[in-house]
Amino acid sequence: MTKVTTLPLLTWLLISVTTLTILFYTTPVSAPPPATWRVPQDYPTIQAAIDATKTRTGDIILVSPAIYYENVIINKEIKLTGVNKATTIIDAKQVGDVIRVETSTAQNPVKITGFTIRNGNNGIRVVSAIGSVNVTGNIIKNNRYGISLIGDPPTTPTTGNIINSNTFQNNSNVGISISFSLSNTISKNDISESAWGMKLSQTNTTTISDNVLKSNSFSIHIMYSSSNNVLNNIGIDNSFCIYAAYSDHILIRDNKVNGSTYGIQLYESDSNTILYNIVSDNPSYSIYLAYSDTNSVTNNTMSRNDWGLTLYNSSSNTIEGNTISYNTFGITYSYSPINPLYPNKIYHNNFINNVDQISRDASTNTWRTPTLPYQGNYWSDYKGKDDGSNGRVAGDGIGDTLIPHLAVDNYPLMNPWGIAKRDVAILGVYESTTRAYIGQVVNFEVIVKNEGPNPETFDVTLKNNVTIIEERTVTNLAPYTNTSLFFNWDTSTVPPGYYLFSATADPVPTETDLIDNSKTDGTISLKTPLLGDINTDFIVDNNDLILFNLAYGSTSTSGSNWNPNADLNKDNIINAQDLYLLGKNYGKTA
Amino acid sequence: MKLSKSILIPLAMLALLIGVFVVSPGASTTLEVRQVKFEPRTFDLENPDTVIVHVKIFDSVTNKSLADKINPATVLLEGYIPIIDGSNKTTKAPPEFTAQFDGYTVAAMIWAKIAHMGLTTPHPWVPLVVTLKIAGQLYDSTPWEGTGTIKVYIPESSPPPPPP
Repeated sequence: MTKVTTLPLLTWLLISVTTLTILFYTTPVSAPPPATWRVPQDYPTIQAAIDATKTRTGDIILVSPAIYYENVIINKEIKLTGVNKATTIIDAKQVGDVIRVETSTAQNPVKITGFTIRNGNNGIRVVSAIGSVNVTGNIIKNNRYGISLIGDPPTTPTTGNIINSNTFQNNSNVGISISFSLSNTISKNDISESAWGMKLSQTNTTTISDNVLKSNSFSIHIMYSSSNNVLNNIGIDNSFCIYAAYSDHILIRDNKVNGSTYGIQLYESDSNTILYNIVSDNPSYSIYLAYSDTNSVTNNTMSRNDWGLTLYNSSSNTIEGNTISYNTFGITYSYSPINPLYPNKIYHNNFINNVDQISRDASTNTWRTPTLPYQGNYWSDYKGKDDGSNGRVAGDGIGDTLIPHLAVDNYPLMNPWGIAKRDVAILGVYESTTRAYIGQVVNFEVIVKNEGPNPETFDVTLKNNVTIIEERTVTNLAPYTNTSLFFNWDTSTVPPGYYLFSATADPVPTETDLIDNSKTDGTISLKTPLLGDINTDFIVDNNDLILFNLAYGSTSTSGSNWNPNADLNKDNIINAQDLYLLGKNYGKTA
Repeated sequence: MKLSKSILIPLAMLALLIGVFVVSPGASTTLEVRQVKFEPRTFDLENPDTVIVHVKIFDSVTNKSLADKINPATVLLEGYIPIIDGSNKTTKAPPEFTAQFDGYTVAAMIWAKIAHMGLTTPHPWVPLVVTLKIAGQLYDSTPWEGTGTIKVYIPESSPPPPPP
């Protein structure tokens, strides 16, 4: 008995020891969690905390509010965190850099947050070729450079830096300086009172978004760079707000610029896109292209500037869909193009109430759409008529008399392009039947039209009474064209009754003619199926009897003449029992 | 032929003198500078950082480092820029001497070189490489010098827009 109990005990002991041993050796030894070191509670200075042997990669150095007169060198991958950015101050007393970052990696990026960083040569200098630094939520002021990053050309750019939600103030030379770099994010910063708010050179695939730039000489200054996105920034009272030189494939979109001597300028920069910006109320120039080719300037608003759109020595640009209004000069061009083989294409723009709609030299540009039907621009001072004169089409929205307007536009638009004329409509709702049995699928065709001058995308909803059957999106419907949408209404779960159908097109922006956005058309009577109405014509008659005879004797598994509608008792065979049921309803109507 | 004593003695003394000159450490013919390395990796002329030069210097006969024999007070860059800090203490192997120079003074010197070379607008993607000479003496007054290169980033000027 004792032997019997001892052996299992030893076995269990052996298993337990083995298991524990295996667990001990196979459980990965994870790095200790990051520690937090406090200044001045744990270390008297920030530098002492960084230099401490206990401080390791990933640790947080948490700094209490005070003024720290230091030149901090970060040579470990740590997170330097101030408790309150307004009251946790690092001050270099005008000697050297306030913070110098000598190491950072994508795996363990150095993060600096929550400080006022002031009175240095550089607020934060990241030494050459170090990347992935995250600077978020600081006040960086009264330095010569706010933040300076530089890569190591030609092979090692500084990469993946994040500069987010900081206030840069009165950094005398540059707020954010980045050279030879890739794929940075600069967003939600306020930058003011610098010679250069942002200065990017040889810096690609970087996003500059949602920043507010005020009272800088150059606000966003980009040179020798490519494929950056400049999005949704606000520039106020700068000398040059957005300036790109020797750069290409920059997207400048949805920015708002006012009070600047030069709003948006390209200099020797090709193949860029300037889109949906509002560049208004600038004392001198709005959008200015100099020595710049093959750019796209589209759907911008340039109002109340001295100069609206200006081209100098620039060719093969596309100027489309802009509203240029209430400027002293609407569009100005000289030496653009120098070679007439490379004209600028200028169409679908609105020139409204500029003192001089055009200021120009003898350069020749193309003032119409590239393809038929040719359309030019809208000119508020055009007094011609769309009457079919000169062998042209009347009523097509293009002026036929007094052309070319201002000696350039042979196809002047009668109405502003894209302004208050956007209009979509439902032309008709057509159902495949006016009566249906429950369980049948009813088809609808809804015809919609874009009655405006722009391609439009909008939703169309089909309803029965108040119930939505389906919603569809019409995508990029070309101006002045129709298209048909086809809907299916499955009535399987719908109670019998009369149903009124309507289709509605959601209004497009600025649309005012909403009357034709909805159309109610067609009533459908939905009925319980009438037994014996094999051809579903809502009466049991001789035609149904003929169909029944054709199917007589067939089963659902055999017989090429099988007709499920004739199997009235649903027993998978068409026989006398079904004939009896048909006979009972013969002559009845649904 | 038998040489007279009056000739042999001067000859012997001459040979002795030559031997003493050859083996004299003051002649420093065995000193070798094997590395002059500049930091930062890219020197921004517009926003210059402190320039640090790492020097590795050896006795080529014994292959022994002489980094700790350099007298920092004697070290000059390009013959006139004085050191602002120097250190013979290094944990590196082989040991090296590090010298720091004021970035703005170095930048001014490089600007002068660029102007002299006529390089005003280099292609931005090809950084300019400038050769610089560092020189000094050991504590025993033996002179040494070496040359290295520094990669320079030249800030571009913003061209003004032309009048329309």
